[in-house]
Amino acid sequence: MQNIIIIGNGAAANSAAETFYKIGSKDKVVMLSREREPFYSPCALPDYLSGYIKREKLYIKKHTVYPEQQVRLLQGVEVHEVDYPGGRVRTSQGDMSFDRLILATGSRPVMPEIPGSRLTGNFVLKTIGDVEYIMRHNPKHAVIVGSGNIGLETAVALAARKCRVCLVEKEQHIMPRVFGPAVSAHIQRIAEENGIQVMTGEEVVGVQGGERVQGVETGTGVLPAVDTVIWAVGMKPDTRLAREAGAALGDLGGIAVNAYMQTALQAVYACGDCVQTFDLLCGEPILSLLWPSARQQGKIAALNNMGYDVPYEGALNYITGEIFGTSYISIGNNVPDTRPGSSIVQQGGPDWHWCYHIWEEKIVGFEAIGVQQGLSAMMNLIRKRMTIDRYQAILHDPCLRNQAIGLLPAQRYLDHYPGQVKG
Amino acid sequence: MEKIIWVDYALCTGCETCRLVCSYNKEGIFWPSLARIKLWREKDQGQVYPLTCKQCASPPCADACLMNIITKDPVSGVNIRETEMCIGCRACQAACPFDAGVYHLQQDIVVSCDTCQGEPVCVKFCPHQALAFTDLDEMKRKKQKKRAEQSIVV
Ligand SMILES: Cc1cc2nc3c(=O)[nH]c(=O)nc-3n(C[C@H](O)[C@H](O)[C@H](O)COP(=O)(O)OP(=O)(O)OC[C@H]3O[C@@H](n4cnc5c(N)ncnc54)[C@H](O)[C@@H]3O)c2cc1C
Ligand code: SF4
Ligand code: SF4
Repeated sequence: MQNIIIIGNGAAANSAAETFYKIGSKDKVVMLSREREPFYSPCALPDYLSGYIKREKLYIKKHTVYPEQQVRLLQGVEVHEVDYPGGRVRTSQGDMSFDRLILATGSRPVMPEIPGSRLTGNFVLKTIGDVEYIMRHNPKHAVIVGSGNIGLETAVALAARKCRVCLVEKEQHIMPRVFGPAVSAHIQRIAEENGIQVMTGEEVVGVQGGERVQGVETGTGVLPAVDTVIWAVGMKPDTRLAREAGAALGDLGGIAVNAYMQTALQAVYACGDCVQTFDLLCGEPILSLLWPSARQQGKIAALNNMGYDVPYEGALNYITGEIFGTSYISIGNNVPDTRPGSSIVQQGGPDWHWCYHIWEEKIVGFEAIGVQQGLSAMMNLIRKRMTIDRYQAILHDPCLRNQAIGLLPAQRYLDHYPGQVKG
Repeated sequence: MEKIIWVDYALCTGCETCRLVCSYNKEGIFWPSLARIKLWREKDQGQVYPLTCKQCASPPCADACLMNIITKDPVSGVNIRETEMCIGCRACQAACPFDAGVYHLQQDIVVSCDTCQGEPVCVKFCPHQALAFTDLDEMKRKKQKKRAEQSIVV
């Protein structure tokens, strides 16, 4: 029996603990978490902020209750340091020794150091605590800086609380890392129709005010009468413990791990938002920073920790969401690609649009808004890295077709592939 | 042995009976959009493909769920959703290889087939026997028998 310490109590940490438990490992697992909250999903925080769901609904209920002697969760315990050579962690509650360690320390919101960013009324959004600070502050006119998934969802949530909202994005269109310009334009239109002001190509350079936030300076002017600024300019992996213990970091800033979720240090694994992994489609290094990836990586880290040789397939980033009743989805890489051999196919109408990105005969990205059908088939095609030729071959062979029914609904999109014989 | 709903695509006529009885059984209303089984109609060939949950051994929907509400029942092998906790984000729907997740438009949640406690009404009422509720071994035996019969007729 060995002692295993998991640092964290998020998606990655819990998926690892669950795997230890399910496999019936003889090892003793201790989870350490800084926050004094049971396992909850940050993904539901915008719904809590808007008032759509109650606090209890944030917590993961279907969460295996582990027998005390096997998996123990210690809440409110902050790990200050990992003494790797000594096999110990120093925590706010004393030292603990480990034989193997899993780092699932997650990520932290990026908070730029600009004039005024420390005035009362500046917020980030990552934990239950953050949301409740915002709720207590009771924003009446908020500026949201950054229009990624979190920025947009926060804008919508505040609008639902009858707060005036202005969303500021540095790039030329909103959600620039998730969507191309066309789908993004629809999202912007819907946001604006519902009273959210959207400014693109604008950078926030300063926050005005004496003690509290009063206004926001952008590159071209001032937004007056603002009482709240929410920074949603990205998350960065929380790598301090790993770095100080001597684990290597990747060039994107996450803890470097191999496909078995091992760090550069023997018997130390890492998973979730804190790591830098590779993309399932092209194998390029990425920071996934998404829930499903954190869960899968947690499972892989635990399995390899127990000695099962299971490599990670790589992260396939996808998000689904909804803005005032219109749903959107982004799978894979949808940042317009200028490499030779890449192309896009798209169709759109007044209130819908879809687009897929092709690279080397394979679909590497799919984005859509206001369409419902064939989404999982597209996801399937992308995940399987199937070439379009192969897909067509399956489609025209009745026997193969019956074995790949899940892929068939993608036909409505692939029919638009240039040079496709229809009929 | 875990049983799942098997579909014989050749027998399905697309009559929608399964969807009507499913929605009535689950929701008390004849409304095919709420059925836990979908019919995907191919545009040109006219072939219809019923799509429903295959109770995957390691379900991709469970990995995708942002609220961890999908778990496998250890006895029946059915992948159960604790829908009171669902936030309707639809991440699970996109992740399912069979498009088996159904968006419940009234409740803003995603539901899927739970095999009606082991007695699926769609199978019972399918007028063309296109659906069967069996385990893998039995399915193989049936297929072999069918093939044998066909070879005698021809
Ligand atoms: C508002 C919001 C919306 C989101 N929406 C989506 C979405 O729609 N889809 C999606 O896929 N993802 C979404 N995400 C991202 C998703 O929540 C994360 O990818 C996921 O939670 C990462 O899990 P994790 O376990 O790696 O890290 P975290 O959840 O960050 O957990 C880290 C854990 O480590 C603990 N910890 C860290 N350092 C220490 C220490 N030194 N000592 C003790 N404990 C420590 C923390 O207390 C915490 O429990 C969203 C995130 C936010 C904030
Ligand atoms: S809903 Fe889809 S992914 Fe989930 S168990 Fe059923 S078939 Fe598998
Ligand atoms: S829609 Fe519900 S079941 Fe599906 S991923 Fe979201 S929370 Fe989970």
